[in-house]
Amino acid sequence: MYKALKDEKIIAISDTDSEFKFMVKDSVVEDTDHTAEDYEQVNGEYILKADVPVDYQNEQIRQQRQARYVAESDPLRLDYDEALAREQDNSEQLKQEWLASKDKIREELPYVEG
Amino acid sequence: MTDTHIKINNVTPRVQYTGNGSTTSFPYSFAIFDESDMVVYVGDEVIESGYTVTGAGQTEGGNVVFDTAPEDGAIITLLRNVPIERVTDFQEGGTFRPKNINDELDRLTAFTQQVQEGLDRAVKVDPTSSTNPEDVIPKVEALYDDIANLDAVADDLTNIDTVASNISDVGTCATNMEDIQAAPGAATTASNAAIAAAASASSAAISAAGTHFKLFHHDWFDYELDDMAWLRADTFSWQDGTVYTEAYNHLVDDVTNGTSQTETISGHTITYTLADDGHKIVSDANASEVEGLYNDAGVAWYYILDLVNHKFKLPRTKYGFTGLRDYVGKYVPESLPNIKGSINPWMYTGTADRPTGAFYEEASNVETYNAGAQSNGMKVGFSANLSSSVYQDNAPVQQRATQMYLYFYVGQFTQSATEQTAGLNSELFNGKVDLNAANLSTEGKSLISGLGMPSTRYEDLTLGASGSTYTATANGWAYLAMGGGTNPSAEISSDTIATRYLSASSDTRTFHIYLPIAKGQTFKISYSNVGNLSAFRFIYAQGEPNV
Repeated sequence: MYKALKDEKIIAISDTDSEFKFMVKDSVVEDTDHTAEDYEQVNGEYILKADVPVDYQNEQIRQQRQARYVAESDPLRLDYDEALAREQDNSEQLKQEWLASKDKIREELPYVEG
Repeated sequence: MTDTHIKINNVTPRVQYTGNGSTTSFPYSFAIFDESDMVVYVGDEVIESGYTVTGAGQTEGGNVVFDTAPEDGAIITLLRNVPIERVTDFQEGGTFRPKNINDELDRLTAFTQQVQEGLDRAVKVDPTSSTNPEDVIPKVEALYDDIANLDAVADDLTNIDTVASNISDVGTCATNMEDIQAAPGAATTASNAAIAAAASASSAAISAAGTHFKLFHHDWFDYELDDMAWLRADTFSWQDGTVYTEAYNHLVDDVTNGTSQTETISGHTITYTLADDGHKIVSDANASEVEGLYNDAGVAWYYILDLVNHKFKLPRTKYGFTGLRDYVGKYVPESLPNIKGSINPWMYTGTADRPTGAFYEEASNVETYNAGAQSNGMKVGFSANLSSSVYQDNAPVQQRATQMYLYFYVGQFTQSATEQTAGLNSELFNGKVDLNAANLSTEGKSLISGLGMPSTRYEDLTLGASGSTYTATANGWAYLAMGGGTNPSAEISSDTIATRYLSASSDTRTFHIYLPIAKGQTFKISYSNVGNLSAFRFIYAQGEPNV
């Protein structure tokens, strides 16, 4: 693979492109020990996935959880709130579905142990 | 005592030698009676002294011995020249001696040989010739008078031989002598016709371009000249001094003989050389001040001269004028013709007092009153068209304008063979091409207007980390297509042009961002929460080559 470097940071990676045309860079170096899959973009640079800081990983997880809460759990919360306001019999059921949805998201996106 | 005598043999009494610079003795084999009978020539001159003659009185002759050897190559001629006279007088009853008779006969024989030798060197006519020998000499003398031409003929004998070998052609020439003699006249006539034609063409060009041909005379023309002696000035192009030699050399002379001056106009201080003829010449190093003056004041009446690169620019001005033409295309001054005419308040139908100019009789037999009496008068109409054809019926009087071009007469010009072949068209168009895009064809305008638009050619690029920057190596468009993720957003920004930003709350959309980027400019791409990249490419502008 090839890495484009600028200010001693890896700003681009590619398994095939050794030129990185148009890109403002200091140099291009070849890395025969890794592939592009081994790298992850963190704060405007690429670093090996194994070297990604725990805090960064967990922040990413938090953001992902947040997005899924909005997409999946929040509608169930709104259903529960409406049933509660209308004093429907199934309000408790809806509450449990909402809480189960949040637990499911947490299980699927666990935080990394530091 | 034996009476011996010399015997005159049948020998020519003349002998010649060529000296070698060392031989002094030259023999002769004819008999002479006395040393004085020998005449000695060296070259054409008779030598009277400096030699001795031996063998006088000997039948077999003798030698002429020079004191100093004649020069190498000198012609020595020994000639017997016995005085023709009797040296004896035999008396009646005197003693008869055979020797005396023999001697006298010898002398007579010598005389005869001497005369024969002279005859042999004389001009003679053939025994069968009818020419009187006396007539020959005047002709010879005439030829001698023309000896220079004869020598010339002799020197040109080779050519004469050539003529002789082509004598049949010479004969043909003689046969056609009348035509040949007429040829120079015909050639002159043709030449005169050609000169007249050239003069006519020149006159036509002069008539077309104006009547003034003083160097750097300038004038406005309502059409573009294709005469290279006239340069269009309002384009402010550099003119090649090796082509427009007369103008360039004149400006060089102006600079050489002029005086340095400085003047400030409209805040621009111009340093120039003032020539005797009033020309103001600025060096190319100060051309920017002239440019600034032109931009601010509209007039920059200076010549700009580049002595290093042998080129020059002509003065220019923004203030041309728009000429006018009448409806038949003739140039007219920038004003409308006068409208005039006359009517008589008491004009009657049928009288001689008619309306003139722009007034006309519109109707006749119209009731009118003169001093209370009814009579038939006329109805007077008015039409400006009757006064001048510029005022056409029912047509606006605004006249059509025409573009005027400022030209300078720059005199003689030269072109090298290379310029005449490879660069001729370029030189012809230099400074004379109307670059006004409004004159382009519809296709041309469309082509130009589309040059800034995206083409179908593009370059796929590797997208770097968010915030990475890129430099365009051509004019074109940065294009980004991304989607997926949660609340993705992306932005292409350029300090010099603009920013394009898009974000989406859905994780299913793919959004596309374009931003035009000029060649050499840098742009930045930032993005976040993007699930996948569909495309990141640079799309070349139309007319832009791939880089």
